[in-house]
Amino acid sequence: MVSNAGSPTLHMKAEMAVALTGITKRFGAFVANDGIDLAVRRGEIHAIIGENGAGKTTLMNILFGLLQPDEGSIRLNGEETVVTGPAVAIKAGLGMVHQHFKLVPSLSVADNVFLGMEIRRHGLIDHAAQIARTRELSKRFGLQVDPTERVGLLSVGIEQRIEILKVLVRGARTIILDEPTAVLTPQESRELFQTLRSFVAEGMTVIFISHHLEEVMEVSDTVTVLRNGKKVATRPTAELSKDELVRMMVGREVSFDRRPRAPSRGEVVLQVEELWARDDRRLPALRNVSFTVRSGEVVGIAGVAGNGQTELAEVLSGLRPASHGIARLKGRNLAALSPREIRRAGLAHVPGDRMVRGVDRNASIAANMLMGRQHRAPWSSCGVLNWTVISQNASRLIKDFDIRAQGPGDAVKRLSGGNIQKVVLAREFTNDADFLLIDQPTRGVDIGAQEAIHDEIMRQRAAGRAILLISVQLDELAALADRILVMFNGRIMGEVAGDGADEDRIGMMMAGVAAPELAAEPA
Amino acid sequence: MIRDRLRDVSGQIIAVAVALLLGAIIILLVGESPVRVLMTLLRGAFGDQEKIAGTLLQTTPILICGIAACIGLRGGMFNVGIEGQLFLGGFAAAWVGFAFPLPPGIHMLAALALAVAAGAAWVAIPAYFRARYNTNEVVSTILSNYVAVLLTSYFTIFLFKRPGGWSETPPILATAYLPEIFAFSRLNWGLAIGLVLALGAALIFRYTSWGYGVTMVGSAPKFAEYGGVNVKRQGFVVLLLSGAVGGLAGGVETLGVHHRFMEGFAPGFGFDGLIAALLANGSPVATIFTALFFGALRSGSLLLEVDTSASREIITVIQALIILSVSAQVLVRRRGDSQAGERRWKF
Amino acid sequence: MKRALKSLFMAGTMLAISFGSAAAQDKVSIAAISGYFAQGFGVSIVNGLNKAKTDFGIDLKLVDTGNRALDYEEQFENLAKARQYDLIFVMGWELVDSLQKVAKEYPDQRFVFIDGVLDNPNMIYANFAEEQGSFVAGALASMIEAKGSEFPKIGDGKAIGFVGGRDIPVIRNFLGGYEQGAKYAAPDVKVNSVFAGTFDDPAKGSELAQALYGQGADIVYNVAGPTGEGVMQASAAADKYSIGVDIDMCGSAPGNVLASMLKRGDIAVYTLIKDEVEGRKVTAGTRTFDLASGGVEVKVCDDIAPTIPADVTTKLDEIKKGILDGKIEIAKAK
Repeated sequence: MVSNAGSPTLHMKAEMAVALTGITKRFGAFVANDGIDLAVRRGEIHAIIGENGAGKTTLMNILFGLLQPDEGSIRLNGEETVVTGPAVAIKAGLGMVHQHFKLVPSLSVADNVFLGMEIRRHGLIDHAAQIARTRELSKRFGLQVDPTERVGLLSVGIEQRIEILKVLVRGARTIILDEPTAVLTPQESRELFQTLRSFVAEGMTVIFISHHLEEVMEVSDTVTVLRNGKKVATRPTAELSKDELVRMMVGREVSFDRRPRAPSRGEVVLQVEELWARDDRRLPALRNVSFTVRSGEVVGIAGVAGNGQTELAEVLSGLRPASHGIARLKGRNLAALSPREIRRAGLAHVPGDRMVRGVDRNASIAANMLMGRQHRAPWSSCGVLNWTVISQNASRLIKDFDIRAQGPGDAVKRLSGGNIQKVVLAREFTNDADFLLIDQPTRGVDIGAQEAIHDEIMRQRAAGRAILLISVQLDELAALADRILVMFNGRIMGEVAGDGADEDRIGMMMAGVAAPELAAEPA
Repeated sequence: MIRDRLRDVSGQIIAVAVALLLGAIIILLVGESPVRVLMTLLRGAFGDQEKIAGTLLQTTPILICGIAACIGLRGGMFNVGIEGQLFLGGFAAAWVGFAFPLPPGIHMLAALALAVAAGAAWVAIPAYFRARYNTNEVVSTILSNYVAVLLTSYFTIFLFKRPGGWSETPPILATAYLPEIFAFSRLNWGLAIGLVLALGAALIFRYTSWGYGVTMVGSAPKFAEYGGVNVKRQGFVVLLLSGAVGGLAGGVETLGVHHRFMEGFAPGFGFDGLIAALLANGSPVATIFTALFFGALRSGSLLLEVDTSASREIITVIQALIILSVSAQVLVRRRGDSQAGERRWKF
Repeated sequence: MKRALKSLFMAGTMLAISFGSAAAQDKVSIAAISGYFAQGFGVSIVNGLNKAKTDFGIDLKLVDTGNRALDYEEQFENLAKARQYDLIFVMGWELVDSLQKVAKEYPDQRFVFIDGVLDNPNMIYANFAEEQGSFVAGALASMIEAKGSEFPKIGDGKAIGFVGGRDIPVIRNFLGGYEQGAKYAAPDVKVNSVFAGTFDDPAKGSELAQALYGQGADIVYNVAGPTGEGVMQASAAADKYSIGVDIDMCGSAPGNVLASMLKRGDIAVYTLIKDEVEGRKVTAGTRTFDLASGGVEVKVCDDIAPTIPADVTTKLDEIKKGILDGKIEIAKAK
């Protein structure tokens, strides 16, 4: 454990490849990194884990000189360094493999590896030497590539190997990988881990960003957990259990401030049976998911982000095809319906990535509140919009949902995150839909707005809506849900009653420990 | 909202001002007086009623092509093939005009209708590939221009050449003429068609459910998809409409001005229209003014080359500078937007 | 005193002279309008105009039409409206319609249409006897071809070729002269002719010329504008001969260009302006520039000239003389 405020002592200096002290970075009012200390020992694999938005990438971009911290200092190999840009970091022996690769598809592997620092002979590029050197490095670290092949023809996994080779060729002794497994197949991930181990075997240091517990447990020596821009702890991996890690990631202070409720279970509105789906990489993202949602109940989906929740929401709203299984909304097979027809059949959807799917930032509040109902009376008749009605309706919703805006003509981009979410909720909750699919309703929303949003969800429950609430925040689920289903790796690991929500049991299931005695049964 | 509007418009004005300033510097470098050039341009564009009519005559094809571009831009489609659609529309109108004698009025409408159909049919190929295989419409529509121009050349030279003429079709019959507005100018009712189109497009985008869907597909496609708009089909329809208007532009030129189709008769109007639409930020009503601006520049430049020692090409240079500053400004704004948008989620 | 008077007198004279020239409103003013000033024949016209400007101190305005048909009428209008130009030279068939229209509106404005004749009796036409020049070119080509392997790069000596731009009357006139000349000088040599269908496609020109060379023609005459540039290049690639047109093309493929049939646009415009300046007002009607006036000529390339056999040169001179004194009659194809 690294002490919170103390600077590294003298004898630690030599040992530390990287030491960050009190790093703070703000974007406007948002604090992305809040006084973070981080010490990475030479020769270890140091994982930095945290939810999306916890501040991992910001911290690494600061370390690599892509961003400048507002406060705090950086020591590289024991020397106080102002990292004004990547060139400084590279000179100090740092190398970074980004989430998005920067390769030239028309060039060969070796040419890409040496791009910008070509080996020359008589003023010309010495291709043979480049190929030989690439081959040597790839053999040494188990990074299988054919140096002569053209990059445009290769898979993402191999592209990542090329990025790693690029970093090695530039003399990196400390390698930062930003979510390296996000684009890899499980097989490729295992190969990557072997490579990482061969790095430390040669005395190099690896910093590795992830939000996947499994791989962190598998490969790292030390873990630093970030949450909401703050460091939670740095611990040796061996001392940690998976559920401890989950608890640190999602927050200890899970408050079980449960909303009072009357029992109001009605008919089955949504029925999901043995649903399978693939993600954008064509890998299974949903595996045999079955559950039901009844009117007047809130069913929560818990889980660490990236375990199939996004895909589930997309399948249910018609934006992603299911590869197998069936989902029925009020008895109608969703697979046969277009997104528009699903909406007409009774879906309202509060999307997880609200800035992309939930609103058009450049359009007015009124125009945003029109989406999905532009073909219906009283908003339009015979295909002609009635802007008076649209505008009046928007004004009413602004008042009802307490949206802080000047009026319906205000552009959505002028609003705060919480108010933008309220625009989405106002639109979706007033659609008279029987089924509400609510994904991360309070992500990036301030406390006051969170309360209001939770109140609104409970009102919808009381009005007899069937609600599926997807959230990575356990306290939110515990407060609102009647039942909580826990997802891991595309499966539902088990079900917990909302009023008996047990942090430890949910944590175990979120970490992938099956709870057979609690296996989900269609209720 | 007013502030947004102002910010957008100020960007365009700055872009044009920067271009004009650079243009003035170039004029100085070639040894002319920018003031004299400006005065001559104004005189050439608005000096007397004939000059004004001449300016409007130049404005007409830019305006109609600009509306075609606006329709595409609104729906998030970059139709760079308006040029080709104009050529095919122009040829189709001429063909109806010289080959099928019909009663007055009906003849003209039939020729325009075929021009519209030809433009739409021509863009249908890239539009289909866009909808079906997600082919980049910018590349496919640009390339279709070359095919269209050469195809009409082939039709003109090898199939329908006026005997003894210079690579042009026979003249169309007077029944198919788009009538001229004034006796003293070739200015014709095509201008009115352009204005009606601009207003119509603006109304459709603003006041119909369909137009709302299209606008949303253009500005936030994932949002539109989520909201139940069929993004692919909408993109296809939008490109088709854009192409149809592009074809109409060619028909208007043929029936209103040239009264026949000439090989390679109107290069660049498609691109001028696209620039006008971009400068107008995709707004059909604003395109009326940007098209007028470019029309006046072109028309004024015709006097410029006679009355001063400055070359008419200076206008091409200024136009290119406007494109550069507008696209630079668009890029800057996009970057600002995307940073603000992604900042919340990506740390 | 005497000296002072003399200098005063001098100053007075100079003043008078300068005043006089400033007052000379009848200084000849010329405009020329075309889309082709940058290429081939257009360049030769610009040369002639510039020479006239240097020699006679005329006012000269050049207007490039660009390539938008919509602009042409306005451009003529702007020139004619100024009522400033004594003569407006026009070149390019695509301008004809606009020209006719504006000429009707401004009957007092004298237009000179270069290289063609229109059905407007009020216009001036500067025409070239292409058939005469082509006749000489054909005669030269067929006589060289007939030498067979005696002459370097010549094969079986049976055919010569012709690549035309488009199949239009003007080009047919070239071909006609060429064929008649070939037949006159060496009746056994065949003329293979093709049309590219375009004036703007050098690749096509090259392709067609290669085909002609492949069929046994060893000398190819091009009358095809930029398309013809491809013919010249093909002659270098195949190591055969080509004949240029309109302007001196010997530099396009040195050693492979036999000669160029020059249409001396420069001489035509210079002659007309000279007449105008010297008080012989140019009036409506056709002025033909032929072998006699130097308006057309066949220029054998300098690097080839020494190798031309004496009998060919002699025969060629006879033919030119025959054309000049009317003994040889050439049918026109217009």
